[in-house]
Amino acid sequence: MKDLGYGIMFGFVLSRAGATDIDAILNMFLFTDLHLAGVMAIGIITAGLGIALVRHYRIYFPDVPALVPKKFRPGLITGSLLFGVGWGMTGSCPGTTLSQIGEGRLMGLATLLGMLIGTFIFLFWGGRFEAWLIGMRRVPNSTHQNRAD
Amino acid sequence: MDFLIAHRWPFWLGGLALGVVIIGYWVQAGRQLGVSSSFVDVCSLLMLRGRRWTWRIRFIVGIVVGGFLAGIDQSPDGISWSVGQLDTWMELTPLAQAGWMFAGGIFIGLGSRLADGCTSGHSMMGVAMLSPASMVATGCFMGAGVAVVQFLRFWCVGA
Repeated sequence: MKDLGYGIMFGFVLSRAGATDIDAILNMFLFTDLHLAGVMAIGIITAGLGIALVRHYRIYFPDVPALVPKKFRPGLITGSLLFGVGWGMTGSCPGTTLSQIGEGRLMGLATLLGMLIGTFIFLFWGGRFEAWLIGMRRVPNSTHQNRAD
Repeated sequence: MDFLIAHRWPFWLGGLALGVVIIGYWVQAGRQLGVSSSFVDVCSLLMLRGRRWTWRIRFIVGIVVGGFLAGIDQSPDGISWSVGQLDTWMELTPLAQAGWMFAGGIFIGLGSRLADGCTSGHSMMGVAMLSPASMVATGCFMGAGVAVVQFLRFWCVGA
């Protein structure tokens, strides 16, 4: 249930921070309103400080798992550029789209559907369709998944 | 006059809250933030394969609920089909707008899986971790985003 709770907090904060506003993202890319850039910067700094603190005092946080940095994969740059295209086209990203839908901005449903189809295309094209069909608990590295679950 | 956002927090508060939630999720629940990876679980669920009600799915359901709670006393009231300035620029019918958002979504979905992350996993979590790959990814996200929006606006509205 913690996951649900943190999801709720995350979605709530995304909304209150203004990240769910398509115009805010578009304006950020037009450099006419850097509000969200500020949100991201402060968020990154806050999280970064938190990470440093927790790591420094790791003795007091014995159960906290090590963070897994993302690796340089062949698809990283291509994927990031494609992502950026979609981000620019829609003024949304995966997290904000979900929060948008909750808020009632239902165009997010179209975006979400696209994101799911895009994910599906990757899974299929990635050649790991079989592995996925079997429902493997551990996704092989060749799908570029950085997950251990 | 498009929809104003009521009760929008100042940027430093939004950022602070975001950072706190991210760290809290890690320290208290042991989870590393990532949203685009959840869509793999959703695909698996929809195809009735392997993964079912995983923690990532619970997380993204939470995001929707969180948005709902935040939107209760906030403009726009109720349901909105707005896409902001995109409407002014492109002047598409609602159905065409949906098609556009859908197409953009495909770029996001495919791109995030190829890059193994999105603005949550890479730009927030990854950069906070000082992970070089995430910084590169974020740079590409931003670069492409800026290029597309600038071009789109120029194409539709002119200089």
